[in-house]
Amino acid sequence: MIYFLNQYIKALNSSVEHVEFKRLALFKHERVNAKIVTRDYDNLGHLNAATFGLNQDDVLNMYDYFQGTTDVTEKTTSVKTLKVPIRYQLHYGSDVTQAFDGGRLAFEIHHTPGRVGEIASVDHFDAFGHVVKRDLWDSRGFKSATQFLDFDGDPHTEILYHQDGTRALERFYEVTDDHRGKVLFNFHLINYRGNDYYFNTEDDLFTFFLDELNQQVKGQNVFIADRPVATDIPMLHMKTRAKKYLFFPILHAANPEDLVHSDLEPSYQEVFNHLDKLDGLITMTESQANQIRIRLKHQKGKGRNIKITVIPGAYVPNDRLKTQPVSPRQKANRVIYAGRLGADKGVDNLLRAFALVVPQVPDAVLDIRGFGDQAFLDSLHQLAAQLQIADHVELNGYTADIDPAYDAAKVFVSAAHQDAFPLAMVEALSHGLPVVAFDTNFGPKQIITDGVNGFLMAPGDLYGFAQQVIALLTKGRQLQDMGANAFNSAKDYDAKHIWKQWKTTGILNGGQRK
Amino acid sequence: MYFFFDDNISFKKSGIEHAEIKRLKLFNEKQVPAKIITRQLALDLHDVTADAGISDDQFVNLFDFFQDAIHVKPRKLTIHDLKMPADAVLKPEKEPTKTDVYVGDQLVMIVGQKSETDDRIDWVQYSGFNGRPVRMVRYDSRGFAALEQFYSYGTQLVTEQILKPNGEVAIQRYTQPRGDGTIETSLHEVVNYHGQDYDFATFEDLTTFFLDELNLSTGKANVLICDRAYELAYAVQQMQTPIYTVMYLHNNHVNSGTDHMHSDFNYNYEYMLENRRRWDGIATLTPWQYDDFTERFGKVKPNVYMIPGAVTDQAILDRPHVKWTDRNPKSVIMVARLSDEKQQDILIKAWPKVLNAVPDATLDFWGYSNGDYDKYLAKLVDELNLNDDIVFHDYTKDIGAVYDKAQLLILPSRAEGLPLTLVEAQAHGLPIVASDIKYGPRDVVTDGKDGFLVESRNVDQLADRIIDLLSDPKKLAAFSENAYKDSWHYSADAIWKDWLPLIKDAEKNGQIPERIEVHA
Repeated sequence: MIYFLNQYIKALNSSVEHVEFKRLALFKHERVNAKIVTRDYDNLGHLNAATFGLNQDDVLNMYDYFQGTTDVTEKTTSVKTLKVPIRYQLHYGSDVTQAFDGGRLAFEIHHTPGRVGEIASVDHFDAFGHVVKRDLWDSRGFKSATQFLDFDGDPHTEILYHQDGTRALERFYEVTDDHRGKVLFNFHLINYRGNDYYFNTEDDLFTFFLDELNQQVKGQNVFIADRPVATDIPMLHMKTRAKKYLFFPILHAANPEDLVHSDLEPSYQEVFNHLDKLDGLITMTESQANQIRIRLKHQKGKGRNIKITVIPGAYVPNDRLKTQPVSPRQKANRVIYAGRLGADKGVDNLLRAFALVVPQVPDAVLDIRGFGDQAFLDSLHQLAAQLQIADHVELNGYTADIDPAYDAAKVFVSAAHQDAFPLAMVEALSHGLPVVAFDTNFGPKQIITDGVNGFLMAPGDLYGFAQQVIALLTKGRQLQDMGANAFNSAKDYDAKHIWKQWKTTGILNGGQRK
Repeated sequence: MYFFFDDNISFKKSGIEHAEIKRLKLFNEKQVPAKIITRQLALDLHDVTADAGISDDQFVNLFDFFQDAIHVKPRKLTIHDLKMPADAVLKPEKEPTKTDVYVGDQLVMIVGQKSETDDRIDWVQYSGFNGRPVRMVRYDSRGFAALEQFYSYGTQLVTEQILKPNGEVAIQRYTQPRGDGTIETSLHEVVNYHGQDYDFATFEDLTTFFLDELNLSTGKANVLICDRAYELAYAVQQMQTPIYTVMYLHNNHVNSGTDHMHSDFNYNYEYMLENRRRWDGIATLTPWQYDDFTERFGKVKPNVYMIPGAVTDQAILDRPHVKWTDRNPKSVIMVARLSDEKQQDILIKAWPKVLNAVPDATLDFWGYSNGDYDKYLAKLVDELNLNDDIVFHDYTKDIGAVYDKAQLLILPSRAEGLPLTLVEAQAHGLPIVASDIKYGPRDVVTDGKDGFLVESRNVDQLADRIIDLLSDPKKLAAFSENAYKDSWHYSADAIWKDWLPLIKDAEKNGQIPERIEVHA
């Protein structure tokens, strides 16, 4: 079995998760057993996974494993499931249903987002109106945990159940030394294979879990750590033998302009001291692999000769390649960007460049897809207003199914300062959208052939960037030709090509590690 | 079924618990089904009931009821029965009742046993890696984990779970600070009771729920005799299911010892008396109290009964009389809680005068102290230079032996209902000198025949009556014989006659409770 190690699958996911989703789709296509492994407890984890087309066979969560709920017959829940005693009067709501004992609010049933009337959690109120207990319901239809809340309303103790209601784990919280936060600091694993176990950190528990997984599942197992820190360190500490790989979903060094000499990205400092314990590194671009090779030449120790394989993070399924893109002549003048919305993605510069496009193309609209923190989103709204293009910019948030947005746009744009591999660019190509981007580390150079399937601009050249967008929006023939090239270039990321890369890693050969 | 409802029962019992136990015995003799019920959580409760001779068939505690732990066969659970983490190493602590459990160099558990000689597990504390307690598990004396306590950040007890013998959760309790910052229990939740969860903002609400569920569970028309008004009246009054409710007055119900018509209520009974119309019956202890009560409140709504709380075992009545020569000469005793209303201080103040007249008289006090009253008495004894003459003893289980060795019993109380000690002492042939207060002494003691009644707080009169008896051993012995005779007033048959009106009314008015909620 091949395990892709991650921390969580959320409702809004970053490229770490999206790379895994595409990789899993590819492995399924090639009929090789693989699963995404997640560490965090999340009662809605399976609901989130389902929105990305993943089922219980695709995702293995650590807590599910210990709770015995990895393979559960899903049931829908409703207020009726709780068998609320008749002394409580229910006030139904779409998000929350409240239960009153006379004038006193006794408990609140929080309904699952996106589902009608199902139970996500139940908050119990005390005599003074504080929430003192919260029951968490798994989206698959059973009560999976209880949180006991402290005087601030934060959990101090959590009890996680088996499906029959018996206790599987207890987790306890501690106030951090600076008194600012509360963190999990103690884990009791109860009666697991007849024994009780005590862990001080979730990393230790995760390591124990990975070792158990490795021992319980026969045959050669492979672990690929995707999420930095949360998964690579626990994987390093495993006691049992397995093939272990580190995958780089982000840049490995702090300064994207100088990836050879600048300090390592803090997330990777620890793991780079123990490369000898790994079977290989995987990057998504040849340039990042080279930079790491040069860096390792200066490093001492056994790990410096570790094998580095390059596998693009993108994967375009054959279904997509068989689907002819929507003709640009049927589209409005929409330009799309998709990706996490952060300062490193240069979204502010994208707005500035687009402000140069609007006067020339008065009906141009920039469709921005992705999530970011609220302060940054506010700053984008403010900037668009200042640039007087507020009516031309749509911040449409994160969506699990982005295909319709690509099909409605003519051009994909990105002003990112850095990336490990811009997945969305390849998705855009596969919908026949030419790409305009800055030539920064890493990815654009590998994905875009300048003047063929898009334009590769000098970083910071906003004027030039805008001119190319204007040209694509106004010259129908150029857009049509480059769109066709874009669609053709997406074939470089089809199963045949990407799988060939995977075969070179040695992961699939099943050999013992040295 | 008759339920005798009390707040709690412990090793040291007050007159109320003794009265309940005697009453239970009486009902058993008369073959009328009855149970004592209590509501406080106590992990040694079944040690207490076993010690008091109350069988599990005749006892229901609120927590036991929801824990499915009314009948649990006790088993001895020691540290060797405890599930230990893999690779655990046990290290005894300096304190011999504690054992540390290490995994590697980390302390994960501390196990506490009941005492140095009793190695049953009392509690287990679980710690995080920095030594902070995260969880405390306390054990029922019958040998199962019964109470689980969770601490937030090692310091504050926030959440508790009360567990069934099979480990399932029966009840959860939560604490929170009130508006003024004081921390108190703010929610009780009965978990998975017939598949449903019930939240109660107060312990009173939970108590009412318990009473209703208990009432329903018998499927018969039941009677509830409530023995504590201050603690329990509210919960009984809120009951939803039909049951014949009777409040038993265990003391003078008003503050004044003279003006029963206008006096303020005794604070213990004030709330209940204001709400008396919500009750089916009220039981007074003596004819005098019955007359005072009915003169002020009438005989109906609620129905008023006169039922002495004391019952003397037939076995005691049938015993041969203790030979007068077997008793310690001039031994005077008082058997009562050390407390302000029992007025031990009056007896102590009278004692120098007694000693002056009868130098070889001895005085022994028996009973546990309420609050710091023992310290006050000790100081008084010291001031009067009586340290060599007066001895204090703690509560004893075998008070019968004490009665059999003494020659005279004193009760100088300020207020009473029907003091058990008088009835018991009389049954053991003890002459009595008691203050003539409301209520009780006048009903037990026949002045000048088996004892003397004296004015409350009259030190000289009390001393004179004691001197009178101690200096005339023949008279004292004659009073003793009279005491034996008079104690037949409190035989089971005599008292049962007083119960019959209540039982008749309860049968007439009794309704079988019906469940309004259909459990899924």
